[in-house]
Amino acid sequence: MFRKVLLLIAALTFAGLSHANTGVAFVHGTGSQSDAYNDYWTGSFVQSVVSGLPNSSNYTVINCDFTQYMWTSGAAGCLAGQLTTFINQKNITSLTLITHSNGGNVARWIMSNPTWDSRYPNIINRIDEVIALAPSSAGTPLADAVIDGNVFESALGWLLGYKNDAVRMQQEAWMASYNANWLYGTSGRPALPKPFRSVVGTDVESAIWDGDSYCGGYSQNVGLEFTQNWLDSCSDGFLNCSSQNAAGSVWFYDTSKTYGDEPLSHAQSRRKCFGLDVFLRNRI
Amino acid sequence: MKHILLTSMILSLSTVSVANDTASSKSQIGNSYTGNPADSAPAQPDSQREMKPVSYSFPINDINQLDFSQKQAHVQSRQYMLDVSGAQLKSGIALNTSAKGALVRISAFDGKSAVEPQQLSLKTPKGQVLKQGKAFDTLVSSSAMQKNGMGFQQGTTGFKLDDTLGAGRFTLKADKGIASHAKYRINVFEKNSDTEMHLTANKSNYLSGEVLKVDARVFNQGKAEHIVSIKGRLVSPTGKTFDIDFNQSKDGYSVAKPLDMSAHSVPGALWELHTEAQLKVDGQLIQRNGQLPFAFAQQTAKVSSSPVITGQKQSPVAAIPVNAKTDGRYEVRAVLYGTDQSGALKPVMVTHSAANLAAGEGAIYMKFDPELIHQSGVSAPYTLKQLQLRDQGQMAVMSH
Repeated sequence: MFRKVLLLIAALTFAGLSHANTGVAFVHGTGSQSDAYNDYWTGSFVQSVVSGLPNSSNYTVINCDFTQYMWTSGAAGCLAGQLTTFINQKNITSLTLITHSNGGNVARWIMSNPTWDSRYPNIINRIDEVIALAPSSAGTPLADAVIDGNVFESALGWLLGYKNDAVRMQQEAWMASYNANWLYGTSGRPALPKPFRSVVGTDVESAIWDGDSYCGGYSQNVGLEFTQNWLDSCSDGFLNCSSQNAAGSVWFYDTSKTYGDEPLSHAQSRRKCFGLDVFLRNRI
Repeated sequence: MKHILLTSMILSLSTVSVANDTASSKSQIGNSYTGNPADSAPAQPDSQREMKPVSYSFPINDINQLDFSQKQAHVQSRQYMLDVSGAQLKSGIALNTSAKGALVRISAFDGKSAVEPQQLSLKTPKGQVLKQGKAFDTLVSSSAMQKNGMGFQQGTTGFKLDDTLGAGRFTLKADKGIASHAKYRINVFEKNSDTEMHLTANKSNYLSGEVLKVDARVFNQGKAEHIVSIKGRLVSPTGKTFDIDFNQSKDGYSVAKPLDMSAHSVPGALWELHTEAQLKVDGQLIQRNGQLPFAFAQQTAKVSSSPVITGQKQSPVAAIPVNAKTDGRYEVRAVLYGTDQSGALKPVMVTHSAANLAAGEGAIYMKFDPELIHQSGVSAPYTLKQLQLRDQGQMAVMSH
């Protein structure tokens, strides 16, 4: 009798596992999105990735206002709302978040501050892992440069001018403050409750004769090469490697895995470039 | 094998857990939250502040690798900025550099009257005049600057001084095509410079009535440089400014500013100390600007006495007495330690618990995850360490 009960428990447990319902959410970076599927990620990238799911319709593409501070209702609150709806509608039990850039910070906010919003614990419990593509975990000197050069602030007061709190938040010293006080996963801080694994872009190629520069948009890469001057020798044109690998653990550095050992610029780490979509597809 | 598999499944399913918040308090408002996966919380309007008590626990990683102390706030700067008029640019402005290859951006205040690099000439320290952007090895037009998607203000252009021109006193001059009345900010970033300003505050979180203490120093290859002049101001998240005085110190300047102004501001947004220093490097005046951020908030609550831990040996509950000056949502977070078989205290989990409290004496109840306690093998007596109180309404740390 006792053995039968044990077998029944084991069978139920396995049955539960076999019915784990896996889903993926794509979480964009800085910016306010209304059609991130087409505008931020591109459909070809999303569809290539989700073809690796047992049920390829189990995905959602987040559209929120990530020009706001990560903790606001328009940012983390919006993300929590859309994830909760996705989880409920699809009955997702195992969720992978694929974030890009500042989207990693918003995801980290939720995982680091579970009592902020009663929707957060259920989301955290469903998360299997966060795959953070080029996360801006320690900010970027380019955010400092943008804010320093914002003359609207001194002329009119910054509430009247250029209003992108997400850029302000991603200044390096600001992120140091948030990492030390409000976010988990960086050195010396408690680990996040769920794995946060980053993909790190290490360089930008923008030579006009190099066809690889066109993946992700040539003009964007030219701009990235200029702004690389503010950055370390290891960067993706927007973020230093030291920012991308500051939280959680590194899944891989681009050239260690990409086709042709090509680096992933910041524009390319959310596109179907050099096999990135395939690596993600195989992982989920 | 089956046992190992089952055990590993159980472990993997229970590494993160939500503690049911069943404890009650006369000052807690709202219903308890249950994090059972089958009990999905309905989405709430984004604008609504959370009213439910929420508690959450997760395993602690290697405690020896963690540092819960309050950190200093620190910035370093190898850049400076100048605000000039179109008329000044047409007559020529001094652009002093301490290293080759300075990166320069020019931003039009009106977002429209861009100065394109080809409109600029540069007189080098040796007296050579290079026109139409020929002194620059990278030129970024206003349209290209917008296309790069970094968020630079419209009307911003940029260039990099050719490395072969070296460093020193340059004169930057615009041609007659720009409006005299237009205003511009010029940012000069000296990536290759050894002259770096450091601003260091003794901590990163301040409460009303505390004293902001900041040291300002400029180093050149590790050696403190003489600061000729320095000025600064505090800037609140809403743009309100407050004058501050620097006092000369042993190898730089310092600020000791009582924070007696209202801290009511944008929750979570940081205040900044904006500082501008002038110093002499090889007989030449060099400027540095830096912005040091720090958190500043009203003291709205305190932990009023020691936590009291009660409950069964596998399901402790901690009551954290909190004295709140104002109604609000407060959170306590701490690391729970239990006692192992050798009698030593062992860290088990990080627990966060938040509740809405009315002004006055109240308590936040922390309930811990029994599964994590079971996995750790510890039992009573328990203790809490690294206890922190936070005001979620202000998004501020009340105590470390």
